[in-house]
Amino acid sequence: MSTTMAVEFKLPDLGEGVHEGQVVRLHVREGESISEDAPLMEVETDKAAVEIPSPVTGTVTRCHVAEQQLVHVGDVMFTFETGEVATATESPKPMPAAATPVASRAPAPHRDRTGRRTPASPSVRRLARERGLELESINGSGPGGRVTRADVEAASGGAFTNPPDVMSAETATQRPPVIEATPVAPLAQRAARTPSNPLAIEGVEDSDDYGAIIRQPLSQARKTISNVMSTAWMTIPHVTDCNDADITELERMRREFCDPDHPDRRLTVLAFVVRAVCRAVQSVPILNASLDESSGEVIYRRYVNIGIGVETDRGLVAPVIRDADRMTVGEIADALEIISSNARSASFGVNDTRGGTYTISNAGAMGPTRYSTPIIQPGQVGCLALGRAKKMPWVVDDEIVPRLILPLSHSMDHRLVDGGREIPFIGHLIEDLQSPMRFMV
Amino acid sequence: MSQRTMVEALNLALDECMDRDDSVCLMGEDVGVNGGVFRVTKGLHEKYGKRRVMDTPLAECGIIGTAVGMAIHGLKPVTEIQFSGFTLQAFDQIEQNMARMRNRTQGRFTISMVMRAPFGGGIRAVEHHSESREAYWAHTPGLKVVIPSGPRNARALLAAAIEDPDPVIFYEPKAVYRAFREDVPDEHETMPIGVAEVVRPGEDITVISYGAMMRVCTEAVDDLVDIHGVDVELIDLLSVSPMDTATLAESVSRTGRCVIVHEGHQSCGIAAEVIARLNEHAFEYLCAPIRRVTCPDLPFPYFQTEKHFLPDADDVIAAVQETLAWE
Repeated sequence: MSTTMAVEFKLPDLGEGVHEGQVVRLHVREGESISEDAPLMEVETDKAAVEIPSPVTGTVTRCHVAEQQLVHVGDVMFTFETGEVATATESPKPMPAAATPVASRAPAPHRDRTGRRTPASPSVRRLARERGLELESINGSGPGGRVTRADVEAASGGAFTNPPDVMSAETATQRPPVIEATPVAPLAQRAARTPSNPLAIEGVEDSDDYGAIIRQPLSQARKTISNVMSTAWMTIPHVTDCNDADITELERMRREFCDPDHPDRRLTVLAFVVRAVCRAVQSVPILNASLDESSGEVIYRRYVNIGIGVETDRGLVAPVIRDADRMTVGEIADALEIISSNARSASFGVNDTRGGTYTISNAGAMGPTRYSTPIIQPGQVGCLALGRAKKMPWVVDDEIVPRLILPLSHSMDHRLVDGGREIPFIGHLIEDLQSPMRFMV
Repeated sequence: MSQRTMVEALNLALDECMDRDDSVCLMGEDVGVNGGVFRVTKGLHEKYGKRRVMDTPLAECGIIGTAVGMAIHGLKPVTEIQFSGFTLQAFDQIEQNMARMRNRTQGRFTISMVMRAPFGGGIRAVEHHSESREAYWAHTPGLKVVIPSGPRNARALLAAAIEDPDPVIFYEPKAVYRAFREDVPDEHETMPIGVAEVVRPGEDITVISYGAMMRVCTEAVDDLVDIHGVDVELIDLLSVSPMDTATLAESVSRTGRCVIVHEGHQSCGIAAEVIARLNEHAFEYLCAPIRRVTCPDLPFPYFQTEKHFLPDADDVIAAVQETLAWE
């Protein structure tokens, strides 16, 4: 006999503070079988993209979510059927002759499995009705799958596709009279003009007062970045100190060095900078601290976790090298290599970006930038941006000589760090980079 | 035009109505020589004499019953019940006679009388001095229930209530009695009963309230507008019964969102009635569930916990923000 059991898989708790995410990819479809721990789905949360493995071995009898859907912790994602499959010796149960074939039975999209109607507010139902849309055909992005006004507008191709007769005479009379502006010739042509700038951007076509536009919803990751950035910018009084490090000597040694034990290892300038930062925070520990405003305390950390700002398809991410102060330059280089390969596939785990104590952004790797004003991550007090190193006319021993110069922009949280502490810190860092022998002793 | 407190404005309304109409008379506990427990009738005993300003025994049922009889005979009694909690003693006369006499006599007799009573919390009094039980009277057919929120509308509505041919329950928010002064015209002024006032027009959300809670709502709305950038439409019901359904439905049809604030208990309260009417008249415009900010379904507490019991501006702001966040 075969024993089968239906198992519902709910979105598990993905880590502290993460309540929702967006389904990026479903690796299985209804009817497919999957073994335990095989990749089931990928969910992008506030923090990172998370690969969720299958909790069981079995067959997916129902997939409750679609790609791009917003899902919440506790929502049912899949229903599996587990257990032994009927053996070949058992004859299949005959279908009752009079039974309606399952396939021809009309599906009931109006109701979910529990028989409830598609959730939406009365005004959204009205909007859907006016636009001739079946509410049930729209994927709800609101809490609990609720269909929002934005969902209906997106499904009907944006507000501007409204047929003009939608506004009833009744509502038209209630509207305040609009005073027409004096027509301006170029504006009057607007509607007839085809967009001069065909952008290959996903989104809803719309228009504003000045021409055609595309509306694209913010990704979950971008929302998080924008929240973190505005919090940091509004709460942390930033001061940015701009400096140069002459890395001519470091660069020469780096290029000439060949490690027979690790012939493939790429010792980058960034690896040396990470090491130099670790050394500098040991002499000026306040740069590795954080400010706890609620308790009125400075939190000094006995560990040094360096976040490395990297650009990914999903936006800026700062994966963390843990205990970087206990690593050699070579080990740091290996860690950076892992980070940059993960950045290409944007596959960071939730924990990869947590617990940083200081952040370095290698902005110069992206192009010809020199100085900038890096924004400090909340919970940290310093952020260092490296510009692109470039040969510059430099005065050495009263002579102008070409030297390789690395621009450094260093932001500090002025609530906790004054120039009196930051300047020795950055001085220590620059000294290290200019006299690489210091790394070795 | 002169600056008056609500107590002074009410006194002005009583004075001018007595002056204009000889059939208007006042009765209640200590309304005569003493000028009323809150001094609303101050000076009227001296001015109009004991035949028109009558001190009564401590018997609310008797006060209302007597007034109903006087009204049947063509007088216009304005009764004062010292605190709204004592009206329960007169429940039988209000419910059986005052509210129903017109219907029972097929319109032959109308009961043109006013029952004034201070109500509501906020002055650290005891439970039967602080209650808000206007929903009882709103539930009774045949009664009008009017609740002013400031000196000027208190004066105009009391004058209208006295001139009204039917019985009016006039509940005065005693927390507002001397809370502030306002310009009140010296010349006679009335306001129509049953018409709500849009105090502040707005587009994002409708906040509906009345009585002393209008001050709380005004404080909340100021914050919402100035700090949170929310364009709130604030409506003062003024008349709980009859209710100005048209104004409420028109507003919520525009904003799609609504929060109702009152001191009375939540279950079967005025907010519940507002929600039912909006459900009937503005349903398809609703963008979010309508929220209620009210006192809990508990007897009014001792004064130490009064401020936790009464809704405050933070409660209103939170409810508005939750309603706006719903999509």
